Amino acid sequence: MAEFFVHLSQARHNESLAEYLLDKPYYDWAITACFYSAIHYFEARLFIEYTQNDKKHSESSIPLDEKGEWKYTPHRWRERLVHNHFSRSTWISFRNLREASELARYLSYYPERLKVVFKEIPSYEIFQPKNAQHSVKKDLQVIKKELRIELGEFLHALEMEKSDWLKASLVTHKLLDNFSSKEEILQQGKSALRQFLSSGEIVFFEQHLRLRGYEFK
Amino acid sequence: MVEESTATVPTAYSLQERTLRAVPFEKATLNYLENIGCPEEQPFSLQALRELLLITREPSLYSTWSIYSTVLTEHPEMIVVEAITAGRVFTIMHDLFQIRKEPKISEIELIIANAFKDIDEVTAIYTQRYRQELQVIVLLSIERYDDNLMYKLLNIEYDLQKENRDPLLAFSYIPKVYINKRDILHPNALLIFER
Repeated sequence: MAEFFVHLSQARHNESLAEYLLDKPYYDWAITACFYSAIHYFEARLFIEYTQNDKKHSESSIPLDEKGEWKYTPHRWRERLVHNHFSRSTWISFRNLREASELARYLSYYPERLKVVFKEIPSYEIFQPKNAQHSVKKDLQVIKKELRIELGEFLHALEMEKSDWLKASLVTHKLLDNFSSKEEILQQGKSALRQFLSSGEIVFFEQHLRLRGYEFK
Repeated sequence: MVEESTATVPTAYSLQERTLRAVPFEKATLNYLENIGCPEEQPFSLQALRELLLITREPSLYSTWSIYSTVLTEHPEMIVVEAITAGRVFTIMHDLFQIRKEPKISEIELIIANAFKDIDEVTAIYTQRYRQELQVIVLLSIERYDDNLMYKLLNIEYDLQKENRDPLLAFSYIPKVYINKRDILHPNALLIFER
């Protein structure tokens, strides 16, 4: 599952750039870097959560219309996935990053290629430092928290899929849906896991925890 | 590409004759539009037709139509080729008018207008149909990005997206940084709210 780390690395790289730009006069680019970080965090989460190849990336799961063409643009479909699977606050942060970054990137506006017009002022003048702070410190953090990226990374490191990829995906899916952190899982132990995992899945998960030196408390 | 005519070009046509041959084509176009239900409140013009043809997936069709409208005055025998072209133009126009025949504000557009009307910074809302989307263009009075305002707007959009799955609603929020609001909108865009 190399792509998980590819997305995760790219997300962190972009986030680092956004943070680096916070005290520089390039607020517009900080916002844009944030948006692209959010996209890759989301794609990392999709990749680790789904077993079907076509659902591991948002671009490969876009529904087709009767003519065989995409019903949605990749951005709109990704937003719909966020809308369907995550909270209102995460969706709003995701949408806000997209709106701000598109405003920041384009001097022209062309609603679906029908018309083209140009701004009266450069993009960077539309933004202030507080907008970049909001993107990095608020929107991106809201998204990361709900995507449970740290927990996803921990589960991925257990390499459960090497012994049974289907069971690994199921366990990963259930844990990401019901726990917010590695610490929460380890502290609450098997009794909490029984609410969501079958006994076979718990045994499977525990085996992989032990292989990596972890124990339930 | 249009087939090349093998007919010889008569040279004896007077300007008046050429014009007479050209006019029926434009008249036929207008008659056709009338037959397929051109909205009365928005009289159709040949200029509007040109714009419509330009946005179809067959830009060559517009070129063909446009060229033949002109060439006909010089080569009236091309009326046969033009008739074929016109047939294709009419097919496209028919498809386009399936959209244009619904100029009235739909229920979802009323819901959208009502949802945003209490946000002071919203100056106007336009909608336009594109493929399977209902694009909603929300024009704002702000000149600097305002995250708090965007949260208010996106909260409203969240509910609209949740309650209305079809057609796909595609929102854009446009600050007052563009030259002219009419410039950013397609001629077919429908004004559903204005402060």
